[in-house]
This record gives sequence, C-alpha cells and structure tokens, in this order.
Amino acid sequence: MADNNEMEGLAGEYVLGTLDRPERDAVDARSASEPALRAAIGDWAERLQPLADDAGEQAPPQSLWTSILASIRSGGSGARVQLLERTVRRLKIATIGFGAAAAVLAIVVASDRLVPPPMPGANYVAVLNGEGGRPAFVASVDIDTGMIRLRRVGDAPPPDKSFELWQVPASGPTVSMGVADNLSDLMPMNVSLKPGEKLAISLEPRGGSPTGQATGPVMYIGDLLPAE
Amino acid sequence: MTYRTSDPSRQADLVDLMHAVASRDETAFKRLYDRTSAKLFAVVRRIAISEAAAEEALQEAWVRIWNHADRFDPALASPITWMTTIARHAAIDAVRKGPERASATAVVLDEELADKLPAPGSTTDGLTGPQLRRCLEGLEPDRRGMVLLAYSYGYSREELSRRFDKPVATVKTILRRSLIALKECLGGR
Repeated sequence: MADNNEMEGLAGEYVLGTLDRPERDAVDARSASEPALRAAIGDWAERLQPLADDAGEQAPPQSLWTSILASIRSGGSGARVQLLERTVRRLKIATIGFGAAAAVLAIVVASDRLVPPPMPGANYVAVLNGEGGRPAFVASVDIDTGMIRLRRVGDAPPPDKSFELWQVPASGPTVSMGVADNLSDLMPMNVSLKPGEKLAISLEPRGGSPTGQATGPVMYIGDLLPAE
Repeated sequence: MTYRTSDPSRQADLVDLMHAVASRDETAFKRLYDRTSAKLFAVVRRIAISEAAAEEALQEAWVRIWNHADRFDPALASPITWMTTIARHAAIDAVRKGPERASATAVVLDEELADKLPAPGSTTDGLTGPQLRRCLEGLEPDRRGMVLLAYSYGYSREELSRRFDKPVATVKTILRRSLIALKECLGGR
C-alpha cells in the first residue's frame, strides 16, 4: 500500500537520521497522535539497533555527569524556567533600546570567523572584554534549555591555569559557573541570571578555583544584555 | 559489553529505571546513566566530528532523556533502543549546526565501512545482528553505504548526495527503497 510505504519510509528515515530538522519535528508532532507511526518508528529503531551496538562502548569523561545533573536541575525545573522567561519578557519590553545593541553585537559576532552566531533561542548575550577593550569571550544564554555557550575569541589560558566563569550579581558574592578552557564551551547554568548582572572570567589554578571564590585576577568582564 | 539487549532481566531493570526517571528520580537517572552512557557515548562519538562535540551531544542527549522519559513506551522499543535514537538525533543536530565535515574523514570511513561488513559466514557474536548484516549485504554497495553512513555516521541526504554524486531527491528515493528492501529481507518485522 502506497500510504503504508510512505509511513514506513518516513519512520525509517526518522530513525536513520536523514530527515532534516523540520521534517523530524513534524514526525515527532504527528507521532504523538498516531500510534501506527509511533509503532513504525519503534520497529525501525529495533531493526537498525545492531548497527548502534557495533559501535561498542566508550566511557565518557567523569565530569560529564556533573554537567548533566546541573543541567537537569537548572533547566529541568519548570517553575524556575518560567520565572526566568517572565523576567526576560519584562526585560524585552522595558529595554527596547537594548535590542539595537544586541543586534549590533550579533553582527559583530557573525562577522568574526572564529565565532559562530549565538545559538538560536539565546535570550542573553554578553561580550567579555579584557584590558584595552579587546573582546575575549562571547557568551550566549539560552533560557529555554538552561544552557550557556561561551566562545573564546582571545588567547587560551596558560597550560597550568584555567579560565573560570563567574556570575557577578549587583550585590552579594560571585558564583562560579564553571571552567571555560575550550574554544567553545556549552555549559548548563547553575544560577539564574538577571538583568543588571555581569559575567566575569578569572584566571585560576588548572581545574578551577579551589575555594569556590575567585582566587586569581579577573581577566575579562562584560554586561549581560537581552537578546532576541 | 555491560549491556545485552538479549538479557531479559537487565532489560526489565532498565525499563523500571526508565519509569523511575519519568517520575524525576535522580538516583534512578544516575543508575541508568552508569549502565548505558558508555554505549551511548560510543554511538555519539562516531557521528560527532570531535571528542568535544561528542561530549556536548551526549550531555544534550541525557537532558532530553530526562525531559522525555515519560514518552518512553516499552511496548514500542527497548530502553536502550529508545535512548540510542535520542542520542543519535542529538549528535546529528550538533553535526548539522557545525561546519562541513572534513573530507579527510571520508577515507577513514571507507576503511571502517569495509571492516564493518566482513565476508558472509564469518563469526558473529549475537550482538552484531547477523540477520541485519545479511540483509545489508544483499543491498547494492552504494545503497548499503548510504544506509550505513546515515545511521552510523549521521550523514544527511545532502552529504550523501555529494558523496555519491546523485541528486538529493534521488538519495531520498534510494534510501526509502533500501529501507523497504531491508524490512522485507528481515521478514517484514
């Protein structure tokens, strides 16, 4: 039957991974109300699973679990996400002028070959500057997923040191948001960022501050700006 | 291998863990992670262009598993199969956001593909799906290559189109015909 073949082909390609994202999202949406499509997807996944089993096993780094746990705790809690979304909405209404600044920033970001544009759905952006105003990091914050992406534009830290990212509230102590030694880091947010706050990078012993507070010099700092 | 799809008691354990994760049990989530993350990481690592990208994709996969565990239905697929689909999609999303794959990887892939399909009659350990292997061997080499590159390495229709020098629409047709042929070869199940 042609219809059946069409559904089988769609379910097969869904599992194979050759649908583009809008096609795949459409299948996800359809399958919620189509048991036959759900079943076809399940069957295809089981049929092809031996190919995945062929990959064997490779232990991920130990640190990954900590990141995942932080991510589900910060992003997984519906109430907190809603609170942040409300904050962002208010901010968007209150500071339309900032939109222009964010747009300019987006152009700057897009034009730099080293720095891909902020990920879609980013709700905040920040450029962290060092001495002389040279940008060293670009941060984009995605409230929906509770993730922050940090792209390094400037130099890597010295071999025995680490860059550590800090939330700098308007008042109160800074909070560590993790170590950022890679060219690009995607990290779960363990804090809820608010307008008026800053992000800062300090130079710490390799692996991050041993005390939970910045022990080294603040190298780069920037304001959190709302983004579209 | 710490996981065997064929072991019913382990399977039942994983199903229980999935249900606990659906009710937001972090301890169960950790146990599920400990049991299956090495397998999922290996799957993701083949698709991702770098170790760092693989780690990022695996993290995203586990967040999706946590968020969507309530959609898992043991009547439709085993837990590992369900999680594998999520992990592969997360890795594919990461790859397609990034720059073009380096063409140098193509050479490595050719060697891996050759290794992946040993001569008929060679030993199989029961996990590598002898039936699926036999059915894949029944496909024309190009078709088999397309299916393997897509599933194991996350190739898009566009990437397959360039690699096999065929229009994207043709790739889609070939993929679907190959899938139907595989299904028939596997006895329609």
